[in-house]
Amino acid sequence: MSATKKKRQKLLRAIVGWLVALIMFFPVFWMALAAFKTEQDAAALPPLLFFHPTLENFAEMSERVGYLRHAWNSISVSFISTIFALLLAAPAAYVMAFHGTNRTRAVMLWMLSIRFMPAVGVLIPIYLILVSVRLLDTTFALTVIIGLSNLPLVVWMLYSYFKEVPSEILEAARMDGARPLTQLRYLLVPLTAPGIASTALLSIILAWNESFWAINITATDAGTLALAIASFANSEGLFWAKLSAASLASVAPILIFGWIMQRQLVRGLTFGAVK
Amino acid sequence: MSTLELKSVSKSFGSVPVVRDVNLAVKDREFVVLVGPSGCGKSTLLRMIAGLEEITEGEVLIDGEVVNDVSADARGLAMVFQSYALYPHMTVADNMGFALKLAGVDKATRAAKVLEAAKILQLEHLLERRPKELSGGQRQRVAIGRAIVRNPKIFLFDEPLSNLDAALRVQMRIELARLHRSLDATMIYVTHDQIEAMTMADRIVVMRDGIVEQAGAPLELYERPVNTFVAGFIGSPKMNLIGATVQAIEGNRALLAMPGGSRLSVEAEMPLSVGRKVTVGIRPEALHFVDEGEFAGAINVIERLGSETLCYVDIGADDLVTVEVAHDAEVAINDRRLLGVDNNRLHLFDDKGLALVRR
Ligand SMILES: Nc1ncnc2c1ncn2[C@@H]1O[C@H](COP(=O)(O)OP(=O)(O)OP(=O)(O)O)[C@@H](O)[C@H]1O
Ligand SMILES: [Mg+2]
Repeated sequence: MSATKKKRQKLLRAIVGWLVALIMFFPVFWMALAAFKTEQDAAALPPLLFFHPTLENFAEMSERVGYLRHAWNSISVSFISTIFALLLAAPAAYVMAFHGTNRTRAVMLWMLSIRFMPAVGVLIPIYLILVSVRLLDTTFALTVIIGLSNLPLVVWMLYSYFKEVPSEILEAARMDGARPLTQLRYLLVPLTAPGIASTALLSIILAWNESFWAINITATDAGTLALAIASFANSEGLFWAKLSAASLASVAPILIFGWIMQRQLVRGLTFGAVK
Repeated sequence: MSTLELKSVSKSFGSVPVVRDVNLAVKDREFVVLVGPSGCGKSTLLRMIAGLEEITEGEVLIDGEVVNDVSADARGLAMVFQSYALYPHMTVADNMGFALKLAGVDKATRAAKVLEAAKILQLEHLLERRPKELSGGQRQRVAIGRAIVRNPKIFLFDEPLSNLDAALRVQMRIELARLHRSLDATMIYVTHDQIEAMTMADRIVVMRDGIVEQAGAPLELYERPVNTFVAGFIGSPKMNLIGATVQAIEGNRALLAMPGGSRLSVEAEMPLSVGRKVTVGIRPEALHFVDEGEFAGAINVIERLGSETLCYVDIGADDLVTVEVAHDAEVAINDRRLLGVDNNRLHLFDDKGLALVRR
C-alpha cells in the first residue's frame, strides 16, 4: 500500500509546486506579453492571449526615457560597485578568517546590522554631503554608495568561502615567503574562485536592482534603469503596454545575465571542497 | 650553516601557559627531536620558531639574531606539516617551486631545482600531478620536497610521518635520516613517537606540560633519565617503575621492600636511608629469570614478538612488570619465577620522581 501512497503524495506535491510556481510567474509572464501588445490590446476586456505582436512600445519607451544611457549607467554602476566591494572585502575577509580575535564575530554581526538599517535613515545626511561636495547625480557617488551598502554581504560571503580553506595551507605559503596579498592572489582567489564568482554575481544583481539611492541621489545624468522606470511609471501610469515594455527592458538584461551565470552561481553556493 | 637558540621562551594562550621557559641551543647541522605526549606544547614551540605563533616571552635567535619580530615569510625556514598542507590547485612541480617563484627565481633555474629535489625523493614521474592524485606517502614526499627546494636555514617538521602506515613510516624515517646527512642541514623534528626520536635524533628534547624535562643524546636519555617521566617515556617496551621502601642498609648494600613482599638487594652507592620511599626503575632487558633470589612473581601474559619474548609478571604491584627474554625462552603462563636484576642498569628515583644520582 505504501508504495502507491508514496507515489500519490509525490504527485500531489509536484502539482502543488507547479501551481505555486505558475501563480508566482504569471504576473511576469503577463507583463512580458503586454509589452508586445498595442495599448488597445493591452487594455482589452476580456484580456487577449493572442494578438499581433509589436515592438512599438519599446521604440517609444526607449526614445522617451533614453534607455541606452540609463542601461549603460546600470551596467557600469553594478559592475564597478561590485569590483569596488570585492577589493575592499577580500582583505577584510582574509583577516577575519585567518587572523580572527575573539571580537571578530561581534564585528561581523555589527557589519551585517548596518546592512539591516533602513537606508532612508541616512538619506538626508548623505544627500547633504553629496550636495556640498558637488557629487549629486554622478555615477561615481552612486557606485560608491551601492558598493558600500553591499559590502557587509560581500564580506560575509567571502569570509565563509575563505573559512573553507585549511589555515595550514596559508601557513605553508607563509613559510614559502608569501605575504598576505600574495596569499590572496595565489591561493585564496584561485581556491575559492567559484565562491567569489557567485558573490560577485549576487552583488551585481543587488546593485542592478537597487532603486532607493538611484531615485534619491541621481537624475537624468547618472540615473540607472531603476530610476528611468520609476519616473516613466509616474508619467505614463495608465499606459500598460508601454510600462510593461519599460519594465521588461529593465529586468531582461539582468535576467539573461543571471541565467547565463546560474551554473556558476549554483557551483559557488554549494561549494566547499578544497580540502 | 644555521644555528637556533631559544632563550626562556614562553607561550600563553590567554591566561593558559602552554610553553614555559624553554631554553635550547641547536647547533649547526644538528637533528633535534622534540618529543612528548600529546598536548605538551611541541607544535606550539615549533610554530613559534617558524614565526607562525607569537612569542609571549623570551627570545628566539636564528644565527645569533633575535627574530621575535621577523614574520614567518621572512625567516627563511621551511616547515613540513602533519597534514602536508600542499596547495591543492597546483601541480607537484608548482607546489615545490612556489617559494622560488615568489623569490623571483627565473623559470629555468626553478625547474632545474625542482627536478633536483624530485630526484632525491623519487618524484620525477609525478611532477605534473595534483596533490589529490597522489598517495599519502607521495604527498609526504612532495611536502618534504617543497622544503628541500628552498634550501632553508632550518627545516622544521611537525609529526610528518604520523599519517602514514607503519611500514611506510619506517621507510620514511630512514630516508629522512639519510636526507639529513646528505643535505647537511639543521633540522628540528616534532613527534610524540619516542622510537622516531630515538632513531633519528642527534639530540632529543623531552617535553611535558610545556616544560623541557630533559635534553640530550638518545642513549644519554636512555641510560640516565633525570626523572621517572623521561624514564618511562623513552624506551620501548617501557621501563618498569616500581614503588619500594628502603628496609635495611647492610654495608654497601641496601635492601628494598617491594610491593607483594618481594625484596631486592641493591648496591647502596646512592644517598639512601632506612624508611625512605623510592621508585625503582628497571628496563625489561635488564631483568631476567634466575634460580635464586627474593624478587619473585607469576607470569601473567606472554608476548612472543619473534625476535624476543616479553613476559608480563605479576609481583603484586599495581602494574605488571615487563621482562624481556630470549625469543625461544621456555616460559608458560602462571609460572612463578624469580627475577634477577642487572645491578648497574638499575635506576632509583626519589619520592618526587627525580633520579637519585650515583655517588
Ligand atoms: N590556538 C590555541 N588556543 C588555545 N589553546 C591552544 C591553541 N593551540 C594549542 N593550544 C593548547 O596548547 C597545548 C599545546 O598544544 P600543541 O598543539 O603545542 O600540542 P602538541 O604537543 O603539539 O600535541 P600533539 O602531539 O597532539 O600535536 C594544548 O593543550 C592545546 O590545547
Ligand atoms: Mg602537535
